[in-house]
Amino acid sequence: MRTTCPSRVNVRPLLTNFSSQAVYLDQSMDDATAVQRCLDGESAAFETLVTRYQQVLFNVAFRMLGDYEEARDVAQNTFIKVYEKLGTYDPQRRFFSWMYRILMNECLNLRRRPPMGSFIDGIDGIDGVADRTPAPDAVEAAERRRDVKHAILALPPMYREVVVLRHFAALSYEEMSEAFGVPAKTVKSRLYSARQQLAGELAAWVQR
Amino acid sequence: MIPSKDDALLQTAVDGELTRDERVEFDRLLATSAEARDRFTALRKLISIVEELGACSVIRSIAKCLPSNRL
Repeated sequence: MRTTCPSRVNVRPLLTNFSSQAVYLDQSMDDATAVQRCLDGESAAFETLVTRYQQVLFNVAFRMLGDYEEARDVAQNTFIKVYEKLGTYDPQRRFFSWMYRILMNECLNLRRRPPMGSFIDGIDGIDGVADRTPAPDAVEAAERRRDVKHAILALPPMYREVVVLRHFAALSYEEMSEAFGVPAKTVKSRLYSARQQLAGELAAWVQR
Repeated sequence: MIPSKDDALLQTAVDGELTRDERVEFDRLLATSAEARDRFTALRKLISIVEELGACSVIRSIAKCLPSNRL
């Protein structure tokens, strides 16, 4: 299961938690419209963007950092920075690509701080529904997931981010190219190298 | 050993990003090379176990936790 990266989502109106009064937001408005409405002073419109992107942003951060709480903090800080910098957003670019750069800076800033605990310990805890679902081969499946998490976290950041955006945010080569600011050819090359490394690390599982 | 050009084609195929011309090339490659077929199967398996990790749900809505005084 992947978290797709929607730029426009049609769902029923949502009750906002941003303002003290109940305000219903139009979730079908596109990103550029939501941004413009925020810039025009309608701060509640920002919740449309948060609701639309919180899951994918959190997942990208989680797979990059391997820690649930850190990923949550990073996603939260990213939205605050996005809001503060909204005036600098160029609507010619994809909103997610712009936001992704801010997310990556937040991830890097977090990693520059002194460690609060074990980096690896965090990756074996909360990890979605799959980890909590009993299955006949639950032990083997848990081992496999643990090995995959470790293999992803062992990738150099440049390779890890292509794997994360491709497989956990379902971005295309072109979308990743814009997010990273590199040609699509470079994205493909990084993805190739990342998979070579993963294939080596996970050979035992791939060959079963 | 698969030529790197063919390997790149298999990667593009597994990502579902083949152009029409590449699709023809890919079909020809799979039809003529057992090694390419094995490599393609291994690639799909690798991706399947990576994506098996799935999405991790954020338990509480981030929107609810954003400090309203900062927005």
